[in-house]
Amino acid sequence: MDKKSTTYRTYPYTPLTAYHPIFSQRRIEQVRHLLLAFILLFLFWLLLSGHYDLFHVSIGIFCCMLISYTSSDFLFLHIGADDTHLILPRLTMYLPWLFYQIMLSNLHLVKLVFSPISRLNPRIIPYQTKLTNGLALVTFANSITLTPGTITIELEENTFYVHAIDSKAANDLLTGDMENHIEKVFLPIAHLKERSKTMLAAEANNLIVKTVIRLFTPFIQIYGLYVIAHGHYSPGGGFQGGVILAASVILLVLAFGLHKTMTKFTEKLTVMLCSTGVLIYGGIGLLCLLLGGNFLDYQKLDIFLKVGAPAARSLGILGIELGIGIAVMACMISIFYDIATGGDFPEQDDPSANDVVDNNSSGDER
Amino acid sequence: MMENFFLGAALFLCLLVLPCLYRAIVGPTIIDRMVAIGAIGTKTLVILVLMGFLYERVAMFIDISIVYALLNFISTLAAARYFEMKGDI
Repeated sequence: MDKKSTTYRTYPYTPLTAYHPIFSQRRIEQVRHLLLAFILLFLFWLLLSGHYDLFHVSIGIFCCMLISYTSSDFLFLHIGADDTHLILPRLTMYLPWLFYQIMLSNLHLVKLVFSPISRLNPRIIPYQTKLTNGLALVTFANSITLTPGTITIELEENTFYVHAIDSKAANDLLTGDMENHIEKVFLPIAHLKERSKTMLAAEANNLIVKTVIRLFTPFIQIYGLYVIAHGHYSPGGGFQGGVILAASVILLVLAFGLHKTMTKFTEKLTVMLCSTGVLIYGGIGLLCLLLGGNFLDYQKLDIFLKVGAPAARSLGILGIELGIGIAVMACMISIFYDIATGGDFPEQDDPSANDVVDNNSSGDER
Repeated sequence: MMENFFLGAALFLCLLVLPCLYRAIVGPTIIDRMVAIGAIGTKTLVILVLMGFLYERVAMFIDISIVYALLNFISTLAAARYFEMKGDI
């Protein structure tokens, strides 16, 4: 891509974007986010797995590809700044400073606890912040809470309501030292809002819960797949992994509301996955039966797989676990949907009936 | 030596669960109970990892404790959401 080497190009340089939408700026950003999500999730998988043979690593690569394809937009929202990849290293530089602050306020709190006269002077202070980016706001709110003596109670637009245990804790916050550090970490995007138009878009209410769950969901899903895939070494297997996968969807419901989640993870999909899981389980069992063994007599599968009886048994169990995992996940989500709606599920075509969940998030409507 | 330390730490944490349990049972408001249950969950998590060290199967117990942390997180969040929405999720 070196421009100097293309000396024959006399006409003005036309970016590839002009020729085909596949090279558009947005598409390149998407691919970069996909790759980054894959790398992060795969590192997490390797950390969990502990089995580094070809078989398990290839399962890991497959699972991470699947999750990064379905949920890479959970990890990285479209912001429109280019050098966002610098945030992660700068965040790791910020952590030691945060730990130092936590230690200092810990010492201060110990002094307060053991002082003979009570010097507590609890108060709630509003704190205007200049940050606007959702991620930066969440990092700031969590840093305040992590520091002993101060707790973020509420975040409204750009005002934090902070509970401080005495005047020193309050004054430490009001100097704005911590805010400046966080602004430096998120420099390119600190004053930009996310432009995402999906349900993940950062909104004013419940910003902290939404952002944290958005970032957690892909990792929870990877963990569920890890539990399914390593069922024969560690506690877990299809049932437990399925429940963890379902928990990730339930978390989405808790954060983003029932209706918005159901447009992404529809009831139709739930029913389809449920029957697919049972089909995988019963299919493998019946296949063994047809090959002349008992129901779920995995070693008969060796006639197809040609890898030796023990390996065939292992693969057969993995297939069964996968089927169980899918079926359990779909069933759990289906049960949760039914309980959460109380049976009277609003029709998807009727938009007025769907707004019940969203409008009431402030909680004082009815 | 190290085993005794882990055992002592686990026992001490078990004792610390009791005050939280008192608050969870007596606690005048629902919020008191929720926070107490959250604190008990966090202590249980550490006790699980310490048990892993005692039985020398850390890898297994860490898996369990991660799931426990996840469920603790979900239950607190669901309860908070339930009360915020006044009985609707």
